[in-house]
Amino acid sequence: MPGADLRALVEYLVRGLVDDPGAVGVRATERDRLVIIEIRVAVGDLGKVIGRRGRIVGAIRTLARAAASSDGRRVIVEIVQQSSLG
Amino acid sequence: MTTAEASGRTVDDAVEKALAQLGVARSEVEIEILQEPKMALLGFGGREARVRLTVRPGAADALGSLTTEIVHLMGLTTTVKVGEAAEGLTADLESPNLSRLVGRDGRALDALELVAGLHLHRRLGRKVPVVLDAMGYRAHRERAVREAALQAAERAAREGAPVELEPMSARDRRSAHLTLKDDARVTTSSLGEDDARRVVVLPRTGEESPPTPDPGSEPAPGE
Repeated sequence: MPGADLRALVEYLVRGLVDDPGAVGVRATERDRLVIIEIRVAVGDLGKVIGRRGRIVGAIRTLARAAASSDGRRVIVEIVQQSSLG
Repeated sequence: MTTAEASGRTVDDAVEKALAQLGVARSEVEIEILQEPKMALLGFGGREARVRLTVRPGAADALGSLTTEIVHLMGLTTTVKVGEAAEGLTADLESPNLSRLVGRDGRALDALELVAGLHLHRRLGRKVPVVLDAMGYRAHRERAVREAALQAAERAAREGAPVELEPMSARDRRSAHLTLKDDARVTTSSLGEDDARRVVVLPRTGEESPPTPDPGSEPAPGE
């Protein structure tokens, strides 16, 4: 089975959670079997992606890890805060 | 997709008529106003409101398709069967990749359940409780937790000392608490934060106190 497209997975998960799906940006970089995924969302949607005590972003991490485990990749999922000035 | 058009004196009237044609609730449709009503002047020149309603895919279909989509994006294979229970919707996942879909102690399945529930809420605009299962995993897990709780109670009573269970999800901790709710030998509480939160089984004080007739009450104070 080819490796899952982790960027596409995280993007789908995040878009379904927020008020402003158009503002969602997800970037993935991979080096030495470590995938770093950065999520950007509208400031007003931060809470919807993080959740109380990080419960929602925790679930996104768990699913990304389960997806990556088939081919032994590791995943880091981060939410990148952007200033309102851009 | 089903649609219906209707007119009425006001937009609301028109919507009500179209809903009656479709036989669905307002929350299940998209409303498009084709024509705004205009008040008649002295009985002339009035115009009725006209609307078109489109039934959105039902909650069950939406849950099935979004769950399938997520699992496929995870690179796993699945067939999802959605059912309606009294308290909400259930989705049963069948997959040759069961262990990865479920994860350690059901963590991946719990994560999928949380996200699927939130996606569904957003799509429908209302909250529908969602329970995900995968090939009988939930029942299997509940038996294992009950068994562990009973063994801990046995040991706590025998040794007269608290016994901690493994850290587990809120759902599993609830099963453990419920298993021992009426146990005359022990009481339970929880300890630790987040992923480390676990159930502790404590021996009741007053060794020879008989089982209390009311299991909800505190143990009788030692005489």
